[in-house]
Amino acid sequence: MNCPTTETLERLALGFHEDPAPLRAHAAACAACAARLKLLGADHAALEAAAKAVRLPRVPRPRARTPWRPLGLAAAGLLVATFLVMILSRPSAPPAAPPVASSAADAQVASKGDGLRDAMSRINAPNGILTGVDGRREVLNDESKLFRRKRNENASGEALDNYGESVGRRDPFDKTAVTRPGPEPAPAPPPPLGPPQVLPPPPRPEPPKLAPEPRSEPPKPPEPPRPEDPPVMIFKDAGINPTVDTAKETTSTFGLDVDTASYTLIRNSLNRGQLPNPRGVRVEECVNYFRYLDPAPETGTFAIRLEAAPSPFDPERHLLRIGIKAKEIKESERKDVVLTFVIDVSGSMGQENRLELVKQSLRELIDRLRPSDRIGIVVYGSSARDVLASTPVAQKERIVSAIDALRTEGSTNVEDGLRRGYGYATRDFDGKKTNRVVLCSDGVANNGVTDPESLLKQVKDKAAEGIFLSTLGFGMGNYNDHLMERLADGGNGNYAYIDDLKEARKIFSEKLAGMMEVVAQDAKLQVEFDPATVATFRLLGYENRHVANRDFRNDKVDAGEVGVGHHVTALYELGLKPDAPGRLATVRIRYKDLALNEVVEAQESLGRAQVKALAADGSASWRMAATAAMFAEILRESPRAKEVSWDRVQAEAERAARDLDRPEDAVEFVELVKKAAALKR
Amino acid sequence: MEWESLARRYGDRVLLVVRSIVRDDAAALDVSQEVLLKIGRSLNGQAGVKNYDAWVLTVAGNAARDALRSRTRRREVAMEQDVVDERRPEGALLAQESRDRVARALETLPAGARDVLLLKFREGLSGPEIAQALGVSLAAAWQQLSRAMKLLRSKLTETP
Repeated sequence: MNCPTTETLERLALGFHEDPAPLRAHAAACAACAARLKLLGADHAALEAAAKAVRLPRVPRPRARTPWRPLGLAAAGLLVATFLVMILSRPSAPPAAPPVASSAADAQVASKGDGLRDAMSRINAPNGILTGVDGRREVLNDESKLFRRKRNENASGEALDNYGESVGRRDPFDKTAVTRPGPEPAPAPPPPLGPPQVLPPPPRPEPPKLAPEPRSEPPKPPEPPRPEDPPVMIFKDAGINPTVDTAKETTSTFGLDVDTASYTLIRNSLNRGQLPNPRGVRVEECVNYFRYLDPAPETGTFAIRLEAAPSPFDPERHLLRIGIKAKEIKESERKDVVLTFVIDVSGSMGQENRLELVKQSLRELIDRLRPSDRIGIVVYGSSARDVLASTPVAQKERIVSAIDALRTEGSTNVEDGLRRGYGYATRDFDGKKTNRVVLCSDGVANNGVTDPESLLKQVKDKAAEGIFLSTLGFGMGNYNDHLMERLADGGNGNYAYIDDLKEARKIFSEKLAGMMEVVAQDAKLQVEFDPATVATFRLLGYENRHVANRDFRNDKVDAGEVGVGHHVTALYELGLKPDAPGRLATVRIRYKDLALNEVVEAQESLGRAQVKALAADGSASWRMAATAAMFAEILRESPRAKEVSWDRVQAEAERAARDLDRPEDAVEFVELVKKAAALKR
Repeated sequence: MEWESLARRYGDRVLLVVRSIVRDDAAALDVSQEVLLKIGRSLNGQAGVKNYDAWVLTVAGNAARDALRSRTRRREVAMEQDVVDERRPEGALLAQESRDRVARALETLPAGARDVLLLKFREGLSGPEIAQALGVSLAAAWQQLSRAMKLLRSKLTETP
């Protein structure tokens, strides 16, 4: 075992290491580590003494006698409720003098809007401890951290690390990457819709409280955004998987991901004449956007297909493609759906006709649903409001007229919207149907609880109750990719980004069944390479789906949900040992089969002899996947893609499109490669 | 249990858990008072809780998060806005400083960083206990503590 970093030792010493036994054994045997631990121990003792010298304020003794306090609160609550009823019953007239006993604080609460309180009375506010929300994502190894840090520094000079999680905030020191798109080409003025649009307040730059150490090159904080700047976009960098030596590790594990939003976002960006933010590029979502020619399983839930050939981009490496295809069902065989749409109608949704696109998308969807499906609609601006109680699609006119009447209003209180949407979904819950809340938003939260952890907690609680969440992203400036992805991930749902009506049609027609009906929950993939044949491996993408190898058979670990007919593709870049016969890799998939209601594991192996001799021997699907991955790799500035030219990518894209009989997606992809190449030059 | 003994036994610990989450002195004192009242009531009432100390931490953490959630005010996370030097001195840096200087540096840290350090070094909570109180995974709790240590160390080295 190599000596751990000082930070790891400190983590061990302070009792925060998850797997301390091997480290402790090492430290006991290693003189250098033992000495370092001793130094750390002295530090900790000094800190302990200092901490005990810190003075803390005393918690004040309660003034009133205990029994009266709850009563007092209840009385105040009653007054507030009366006050609210008064306001609600006369929405247009300003309220008369507030009740005398209502304090200033109460009045403030009342003025914040009815939504929260009203919704709270319907749903129990989630209570309890946040579960280790992101435990699995924090288990990234050191090399990948190194990549991440290097890239972050190169990109902006910001001192970033992978500490913690935060989204939705737009302060300039957030480690979440922030991109400011340039002037938009041909800005179509939004149609004058309803009340004046309230734009989100400009981000408030705050100076760092602590000056950086003078010894080092001071990290330059990024230029604080000025109010007149175009709105910012928020992405989160998940790093880049490292190349792993099979002498050290032979196994790789990750949760499946069927989302495609990253590709659509890239397309939108390139079509506007801009390179996408490298941190928003998720390789797996680019690869999974395309349709491959893998057959659906004849029996069972999944078919696994493996194929390996020399990389068309690097003759020294091979590419292993793993194609997982979920079973298909006929549209008539799917369960009825109970959908609750939670639609962002805040001011920002008025930009670029975002809300209009949502409305058109919904009309598309309704045309494709069955009369026995049900739809409810909740909208939120500064607070949430019911628009349409759950209505069977048989009454299509009612639904369509409710959609037509949507207008933008106020600021963005996602929490309130979700809460109310879940209130609907809970009330109309039907265990025999598919229950799903669909959030349509540009992902900006600026009112109410904007803390993503708190939102995520609610979303996870509801997913555990059987109400899943899917997120549909709209809009470009001000867009919060990371929040939308995390919410869908936590809600056992899909995340798609819709940039135009064509994409909306695609999602609601081709992908509707898969989006609505889940066949496998917490699906994980584990690949075990044979060190006799494979020297190194690298997983392309799935960085934020990392699962620790030891957790593959831990069925409590949250992983990916896969819907009917979904197709998941994963690529590994391999360094093979010359002329070594035998097994190359074994791929195992483990998931909760929702039809059987039990955990199932299946596996498939590939022998060294089955590896194709030439890149030209690879199938059309293999070539398409390899090219889509390389496209993403270059766009995210992966160090492994430095040597690859755009001409090569373009040639491979053209060839893949031809071999696949020129489907629309692949033809469009060739055009995007050309655009990206022109912008990169 | 009498208020005094309740406050003496659990006051600091509850306050630190609550304050590390709400990060506001006045609000933390209010919430802590509620928590202590609740603990006092339960102590007299039911005896079903096995691990009492862990239960106190959970109650305090939940109350703090509820308070945070019910306030529509944006949560100010001063701690995460600080720029920290990633390099870490190898030697026993803190041990060379006087106790008062370390204590002063501690007191000037942002609320979240200061309180998580106090939970560890003043209250002597274990890693899992801190994670439970803060309602995050062990890894996330370590990130908070480690960030706080880095802040403290860089604070002590920045001025001679």
